[in-house]
Amino acid sequence: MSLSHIGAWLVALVWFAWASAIDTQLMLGGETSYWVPSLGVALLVAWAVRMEVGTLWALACLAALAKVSFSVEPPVAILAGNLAVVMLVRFGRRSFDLSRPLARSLVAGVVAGGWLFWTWLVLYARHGEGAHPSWEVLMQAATSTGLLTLFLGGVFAKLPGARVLLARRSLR
Amino acid sequence: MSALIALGSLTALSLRPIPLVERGVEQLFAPARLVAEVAAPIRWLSWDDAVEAAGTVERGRREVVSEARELLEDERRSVRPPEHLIPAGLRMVHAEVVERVRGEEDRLVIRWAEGTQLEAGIPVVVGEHYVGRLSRVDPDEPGRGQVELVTGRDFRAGAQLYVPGSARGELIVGGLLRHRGDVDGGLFLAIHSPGAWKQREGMVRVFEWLGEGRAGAWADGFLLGELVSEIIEGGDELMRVRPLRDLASGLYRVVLLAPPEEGGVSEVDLDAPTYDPSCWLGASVLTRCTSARGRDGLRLALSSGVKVREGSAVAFGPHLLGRVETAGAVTARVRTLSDPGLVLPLLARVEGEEHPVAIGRVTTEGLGPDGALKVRWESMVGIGDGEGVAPARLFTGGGVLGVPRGLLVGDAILPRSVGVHEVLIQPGTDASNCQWADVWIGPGGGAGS
Repeated sequence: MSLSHIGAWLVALVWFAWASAIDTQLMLGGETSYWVPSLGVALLVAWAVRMEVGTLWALACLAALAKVSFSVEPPVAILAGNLAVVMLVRFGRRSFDLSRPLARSLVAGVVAGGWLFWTWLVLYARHGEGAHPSWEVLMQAATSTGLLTLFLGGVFAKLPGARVLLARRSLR
Repeated sequence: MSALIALGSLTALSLRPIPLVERGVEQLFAPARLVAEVAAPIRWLSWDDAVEAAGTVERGRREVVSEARELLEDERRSVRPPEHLIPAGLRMVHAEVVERVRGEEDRLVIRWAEGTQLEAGIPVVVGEHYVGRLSRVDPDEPGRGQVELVTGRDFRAGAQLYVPGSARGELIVGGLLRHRGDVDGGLFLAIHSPGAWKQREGMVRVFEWLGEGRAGAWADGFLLGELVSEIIEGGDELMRVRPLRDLASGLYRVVLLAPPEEGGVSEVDLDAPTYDPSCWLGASVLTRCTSARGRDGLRLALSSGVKVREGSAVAFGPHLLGRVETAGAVTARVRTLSDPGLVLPLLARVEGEEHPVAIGRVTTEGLGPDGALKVRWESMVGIGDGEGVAPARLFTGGGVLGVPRGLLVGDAILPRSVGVHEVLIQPGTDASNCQWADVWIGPGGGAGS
């Protein structure tokens, strides 16, 4: 791994940390927070659909490390969630070009809804509490995050440091 | 394939955690502290709010601490048994409940003054209520032991049905008796070999007519509960005893009736170290961890070399913020009061009630309107006459390892009736932007209450 790659990964960590921090601040809005898109999910998906397949695992771990710092969910659950996301992307890229705007926004929507469901499941399994997320709530989260990825996914791919990591050497 | 196995393992560990693995993964993610520092500028945006919140808490601190101390002193007076029930010469040894071990609901782990020697078998009471016996004295830790509650499966106590103006019926009481028609959390003591008396109501008091022995008989006259008689399906009569204290989660402080010591005192007290600064460790808040579905927490930066135990209380001045979920070498993950599923036993100063009321456990359900905390409360014995509602100020009770008694939780309107209630608690402070907190490490830094 070249020095520029190491630097790029470190910069990526900073971007994910900032995305998670902003997510946390935006979520303080209570019930209305379901309409707030998840920057962390949008960034992860926007990069995962473009990144070399072999490095997706590293991306999952990096995003998990950033999210753990800003999340009350246990690290093991965050890591599991991120691994599931990159496996989904990896699987999808065998058949589709997920880097296209509509495709990536669809993936981001699914991931955002799935993430809500997963965090509820972990809370419920561990503490027996927490209200089951309704379809409406899942759709709100999916729609807002999908739209964000649709419009800003391209911008995320051009963030400083991203170009080195997102060189499309292999789509499959 | 290996990726699928890894994902499957992580999923299983997420849903059914193994503490050792959980701690290991937490250590692996220790660099998260540095990552959190990277995003510090976002935290700085709320610096003014944090300073203002800290100032407000500091200004009200003296008043809250004084109120909490008064509450704990009132609680001490309320658990003191009436003089006429204490056999001459016996000592009253005050103790606090420090833990209720999961899976051993009929036992209490208690702490009393370290220099006081006690023996197993002595009665344990709360006011005029009998709750059980000291079943074990910890040989390794002075001043610690276990109480077996009267709800224990094999517990038996001789008792007497007290009926003014008529003969008294003798019976044996102990263990729980449940009926499928009982409301959730309903708790009744079983009656064994009831006599042929016709009385269907009255108070049941301890009377060791079986010849339990010297120590057992010291509790004669203490109250077990009231006799409840009802006709169930098939026309059978079901008789049982309803305790008038919440034995499931409302015991925070108890009194042990101990034999006299030559030249010793008649009452051995116990101080609550809640507001002793040496029992707290200052920590800075690295990040607020709010996420979708209402989950809420904090990540704290810890000084290396200081051991913080899981479950320890985290406070902002005299206000309870939450409890440590997991603690690594340099950071701790904290569940705040607004995180759904946090369980806390509370002590309430209820308007119109002479003494503090141990209301038992509440379970948080997230944030309600206007920043209030939504909690579910199973009221086992009700408050006072059981009718209407009453304003109350809520503090932490006992029985949770690492959470000291007397930290302020907030104000609420409490229903006085028995049953499951939804209650809104108005927190005593807005801690949403706090950037400093204190973690309970306990006397001697061991985090034991």
